[in-house]
Amino acid sequence: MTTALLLARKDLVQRLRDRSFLILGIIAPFFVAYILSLVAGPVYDYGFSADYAISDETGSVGEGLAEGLVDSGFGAEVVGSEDAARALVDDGEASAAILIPAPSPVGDPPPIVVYGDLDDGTAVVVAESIAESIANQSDAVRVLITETGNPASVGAYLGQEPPVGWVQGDAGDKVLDGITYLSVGMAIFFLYFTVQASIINIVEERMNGTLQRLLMAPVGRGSILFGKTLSSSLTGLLSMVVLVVATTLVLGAAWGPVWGVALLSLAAVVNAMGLGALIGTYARNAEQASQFAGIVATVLAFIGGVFVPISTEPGLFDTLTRISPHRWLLDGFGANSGTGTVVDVLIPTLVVAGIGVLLGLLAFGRRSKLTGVV
Amino acid sequence: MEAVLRCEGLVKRFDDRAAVDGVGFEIAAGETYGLLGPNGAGKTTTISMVCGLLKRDEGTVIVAGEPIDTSSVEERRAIGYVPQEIALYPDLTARENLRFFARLYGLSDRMDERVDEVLDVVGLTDRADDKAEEYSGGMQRRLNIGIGMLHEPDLLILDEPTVGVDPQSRNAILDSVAALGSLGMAVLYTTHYMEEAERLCDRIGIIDEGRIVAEGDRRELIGLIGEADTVTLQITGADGCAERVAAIEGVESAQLEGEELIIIAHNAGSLLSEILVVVRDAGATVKGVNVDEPDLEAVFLHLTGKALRD
Ligand SMILES: Nc1ncnc2c1ncn2[C@@H]1O[C@H](COP(=O)(O)OP(=O)(O)O)[C@@H](O)[C@H]1O
Ligand SMILES: [Mg+2]
Repeated sequence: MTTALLLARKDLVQRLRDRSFLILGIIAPFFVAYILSLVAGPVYDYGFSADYAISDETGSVGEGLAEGLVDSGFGAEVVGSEDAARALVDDGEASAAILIPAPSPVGDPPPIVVYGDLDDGTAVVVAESIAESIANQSDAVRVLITETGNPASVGAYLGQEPPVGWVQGDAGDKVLDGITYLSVGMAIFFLYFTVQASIINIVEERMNGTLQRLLMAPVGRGSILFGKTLSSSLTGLLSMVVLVVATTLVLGAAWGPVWGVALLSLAAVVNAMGLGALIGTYARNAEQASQFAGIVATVLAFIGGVFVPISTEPGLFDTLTRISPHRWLLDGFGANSGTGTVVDVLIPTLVVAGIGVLLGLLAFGRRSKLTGVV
Repeated sequence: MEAVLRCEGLVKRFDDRAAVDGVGFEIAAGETYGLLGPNGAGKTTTISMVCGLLKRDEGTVIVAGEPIDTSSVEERRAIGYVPQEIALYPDLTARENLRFFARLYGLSDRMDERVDEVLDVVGLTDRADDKAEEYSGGMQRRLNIGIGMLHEPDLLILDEPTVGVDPQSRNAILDSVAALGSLGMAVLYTTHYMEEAERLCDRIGIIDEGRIVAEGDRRELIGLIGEADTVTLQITGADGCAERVAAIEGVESAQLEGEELIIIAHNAGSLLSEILVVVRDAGATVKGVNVDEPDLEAVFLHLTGKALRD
């Protein structure tokens, strides 16, 4: 145990002296989230020029929503019908239409539809958030979000089961507002880099010979491994803590309850560690390991929807995104930030951590490739 | 005297090719043993098996009375290892490097004292708080050695510690290694520089293609080639004098190579005047004389038919 702590401490001292860690682990994700928030951000702050057309068949929600939007600095107008609202979007006079249907007396509540132009993605994202927040408030309403300029495809969704997409689901579930989404996405994305870099440090130690020195010391292999694991986790958690605090204070991101953030972060760390270790066993040297890790982390982030929210359509494509731990983590953080249940947080946690452990075991089986000890 | 290191019949095969093929030797406390051989002879592979860093195919290793293999833990404390490649944390200072390894070896109570001692021995006290990456190659080599001797092992193993080092650092390294033996450590020193083996080692094993081809102290090894000296004469107008010199009793051979007459002879010193007379009588002019006693280079050449360094 003391050996593990000693090793972890040494690693952390090295990490903190390493400018690339500070950049990759703390400055870059914060910076990227900040930049993105400048693009998407005014929406949430003030002076955003997007105009929204609202149609309201309930007769009660629409006016209040419009007032709220206007108070927040948006343009908003309640129009007489869904068609009229769509027409405003088609004519380019509104950025998106929020179509609130009348509650149906039987069966599933009908969906709220967002109708917007993909070219005005930011405004659509905002509208989605708004739609979801309405849905959250009235638990009876389901959310359907479409981002399309094609009215026909919007029509095709009406009356169907709501697709399970990246931000929607049953009312009250898995909601991330835009800023938080960006912050969470960037934090996860870069977490993989820092944790993997930290675990790949074993390859580095093998290459520069210090691993042999560690192995020559009268300490068990287990405690060396544990020390490396410990320092990787601490590195990852450290950057996560900094990012959560910074994005909350500066960008106003809403991460939700601390326990959920902690659990999901730990799961992400375990996953990134297992992945990093496995990648390390396939790399000839540290540079190659970092390259592999960088590619894998980027691809997973992309598939998982960190950069561009992918697919609101159910089916194969949606299932495919679940290959990526990032997708699970985004869902988990979404549930934690919104009004998701404990289970909605726990399931992604377990899935992501479980896969991480599995990858770690695979890596352990190939450990001679990592340590070079034959 | 009880040997600190005893290894026997070490064999390591890589893809059916034996890199080390039946190597064995012993080193006593206070003794410096040199493993002298060219690149690829199997020095590092031998050392790795002695350290338990590499699984051996055959043989035994006993250090300080305990068998060593790849699963040894506590037994490794008896060994200090200085790898051939510099193995340091470049972003830590020399002192931090030493303190880290001192803690790893559980030296906490007298750590600072010991770290200062080692810094002094390897001559890095002045630069102790600079990062290792800012050091010259020679300084890094010295720190590399310092880490290996930090925990005062019974057996210190140095794998070609002077490769790529400037002459001044090299001298400093050789001096500190020489001091180690006198402290009572058993030292295993590998090199492909015969001057280093001659200067440092009490006993030398000459290794080639995975086997120890000869072993002994310098005198014994040179005795293997019959203690012949080499006399080199720089001469002009020497046609035919090589045969005449070769005919002198006590001269083994004489060969003319350009303007150099190379003579192998036993006890060349006492034959020198006779040689010079014969050469003058043959009508040659002598411009220079050089007498070389045989060295390990010649021994290696004699035993293996190749030069130590290529
Ligand atoms: N891991 C390895 N795999 C295959 N061959 C190796 C390996 N390590 C060493 N060898 C071979 O074993 C021989 C001895 O190498 P080594 O012990 O490094 O020699 P030295 O240290 O005397 O220069 C060389 O031919 C080398 O190519
Ligand atoms: Mg070698």
